[in-house]
Amino acid sequence: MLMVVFGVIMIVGILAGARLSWIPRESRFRKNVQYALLFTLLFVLGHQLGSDDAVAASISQMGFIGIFIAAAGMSGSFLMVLLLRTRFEKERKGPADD
Amino acid sequence: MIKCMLLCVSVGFATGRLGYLQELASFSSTVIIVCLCLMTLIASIEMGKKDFLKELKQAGWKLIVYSFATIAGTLIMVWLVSPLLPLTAKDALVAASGMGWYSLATGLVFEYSPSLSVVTFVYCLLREITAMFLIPILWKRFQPPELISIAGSAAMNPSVAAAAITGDHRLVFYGMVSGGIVSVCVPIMVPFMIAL
Repeated sequence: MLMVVFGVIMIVGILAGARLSWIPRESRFRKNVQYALLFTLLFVLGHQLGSDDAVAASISQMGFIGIFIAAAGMSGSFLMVLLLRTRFEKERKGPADD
Repeated sequence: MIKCMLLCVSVGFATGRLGYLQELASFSSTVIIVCLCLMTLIASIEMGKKDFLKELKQAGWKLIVYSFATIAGTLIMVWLVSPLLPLTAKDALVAASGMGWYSLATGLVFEYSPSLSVVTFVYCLLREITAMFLIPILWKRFQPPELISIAGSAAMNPSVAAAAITGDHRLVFYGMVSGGIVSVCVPIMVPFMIAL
């Protein structure tokens, strides 16, 4: 359900941004609202984490796992796109070599 | 900016730990969802205003393929290394599917598991910060598509920083389009992974 809600919000937002000319291209108000929402969200998340004893006890371990996943995720994306790009380049050069 | 974000989390964590603002717990889920919906709406309006659709058309199919390869590479690698982690493969994939969008992904994962949201936050934040440093370092040896893939959905900020350092403005274009495509997928991918 959440997936559909966010998908719809995303599509509506992109289309509104692209089509509605009365929405300014650059908006300080929009940026400030975004920052306010971000800081509120992070504060509430931090509060929830702090209130939960089990989470608070495992926070260093969870941080370490986050670092590990970051390293794996970044290297996975990098290798996948590198392989794909080299393959596309080989395919493009192929007919010229013949 | 990153200092402010860490400060907000730390202050929130400290107030929760010390038992202040206990009443916040009863409506925090609603606050999180409302914040996430509004932030997603604003972020997508920004994407629409920055001619995301037009740039997507101009970028060609290869850049779209690279963006999906960025997502696939992350998920495959995290799935492969997940037996080494004290998490289930599903939980590792839930965290990894945040792709670097720390605010949205952390909030979405929090509803599923608060401790996993810590993992997601650290992972997403590191992805953006590391990309800012790695892209200029690796720039001479590699091409923009693979360099931008390091940042995932957070490609816009690191690509602008990297372009300022290296002078290669292709990075900004790749960052805008690839970051945009990956970002569109995050709000769909995280709930999908949770529902698996």
